Amino acid sequence: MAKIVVITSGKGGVGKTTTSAAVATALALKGHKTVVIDFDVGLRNLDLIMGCERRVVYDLINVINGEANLTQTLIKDKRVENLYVLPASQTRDKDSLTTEGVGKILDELSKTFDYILCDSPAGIERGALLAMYFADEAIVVTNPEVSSVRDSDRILGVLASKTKRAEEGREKVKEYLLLTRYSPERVEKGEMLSVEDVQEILSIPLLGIIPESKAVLKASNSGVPVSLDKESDAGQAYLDAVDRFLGETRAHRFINVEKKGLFKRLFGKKKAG
Amino acid sequence: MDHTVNSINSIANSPAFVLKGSLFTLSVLQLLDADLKKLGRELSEKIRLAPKFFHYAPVVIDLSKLSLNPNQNFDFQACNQVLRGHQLIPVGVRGGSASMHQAAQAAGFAVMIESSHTQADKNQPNLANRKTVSPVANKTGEIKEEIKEENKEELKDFKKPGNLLITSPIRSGQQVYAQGGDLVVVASVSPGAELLADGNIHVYGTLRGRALAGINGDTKARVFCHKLQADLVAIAGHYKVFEEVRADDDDFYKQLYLQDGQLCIGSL
Repeated sequence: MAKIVVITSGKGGVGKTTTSAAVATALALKGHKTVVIDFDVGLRNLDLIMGCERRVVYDLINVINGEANLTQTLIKDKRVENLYVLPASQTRDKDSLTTEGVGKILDELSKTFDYILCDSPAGIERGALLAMYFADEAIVVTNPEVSSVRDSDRILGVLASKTKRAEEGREKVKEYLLLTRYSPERVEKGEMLSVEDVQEILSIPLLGIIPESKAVLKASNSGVPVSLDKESDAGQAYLDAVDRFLGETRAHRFINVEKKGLFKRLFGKKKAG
Repeated sequence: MDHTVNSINSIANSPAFVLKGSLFTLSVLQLLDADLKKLGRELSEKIRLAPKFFHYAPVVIDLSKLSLNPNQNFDFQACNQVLRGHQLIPVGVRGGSASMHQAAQAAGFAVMIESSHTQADKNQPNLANRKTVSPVANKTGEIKEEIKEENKEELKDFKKPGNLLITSPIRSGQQVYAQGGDLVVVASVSPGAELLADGNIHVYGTLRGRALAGINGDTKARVFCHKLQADLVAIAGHYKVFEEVRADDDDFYKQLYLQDGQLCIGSL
């Protein structure tokens, strides 16, 4: 039985798609058969971030409408074994999504995959609700910024009430907080919310802290999930986060201001990425 | 190009109104007799004994005990004038038949939307809150999200009113209503959340968002919290908006209560 994980946030632009791509890749690297599904019908991005935009023939809506089957639609990643992408439609809109249609696809995928990641669109409308409806676990991506925290809080409320698990009274969706675009320097200056500030409001287990990183833009522009950039701080942070997701203990890195010694200050360049 | 710019500007100019939701306590005048002259006499008597008794109070007219003969039409217009002539401002009607409602609406009354719990409280003393609130907790005490102000189906599930205990955080956009009792939250309440109770509200955590205690008129209700960071607190309809962020060290262990109609904050 596959685990269905939704990557959601409420707020837009916080790093859901970046996270979906990075986490899916990291899971596949560890040997788990993973598929990542783009639920942002009409504004699809996952295929770009995964680097497979020129290989999209059919999409999620085609499968829901019975115009294509999963085998024809799933795109196998060329770099990483065990990794597949189910892209969204760019020409249709969210009205084409149906609960039954999504349910059927997830049932079929559950037979062969270990992890099914659902990349949610922003907001709390149809696309976002359907992305989370069948979820067993949820990664709530949040920026250390007031509107993002407020929207994540809202999303947590929706996760507790508008999912299949909530409606059936089953064990609730397991929630994880992933704090992205974290800058320890700005937190120290008092310009940015700290991990503790965010935790005080959201009160859910912390999966990881991804530092603000140049590597993310580089990665999305080149269509390479950032967790494949193992030299970068963001890449390493994502790999740590996935280790924690799989049950291992990892200390949180990149959360303290790097104290530069004299040599570094005189000669050191800012670390790439 | 010009006229599109103008139309965008005209939308951006200040609108004439904004619609907001609010809770008010209203008295209910239950009509027992269709005789308006009799009504007028009794109202006059009340005013004679206590001149400021009604004092232009907004009131809802309850028609449920009004029995009319088949051909008898109740003159709502005349009723309106009798009431207003005696310092009562009728805002709407409740109960009674659909044809009564039609006649009332034609005479300018609103028909109050009711929740099924009001059937039980017909014997309760005046000051009943007629703006409905949807109780969102089901039998097991878990929170169900409800943004609409009224949902009769939800209410039918709700078995016994009483104290309500919540042990998980109350998220932005959620509304919890402890009907007929106290609300106890052993967690924090997020901004954008709403707590409502007929009785007291206790938050063993940080209270953000809104807390409305004693919503059916219990002026003795209080709000207790570990940390007061609420946007708005109300007791029996008397409310206080906390516009300025309170100093951090000042808002621990607070209780809010009504004293002489004013909402006061005290320490615990």
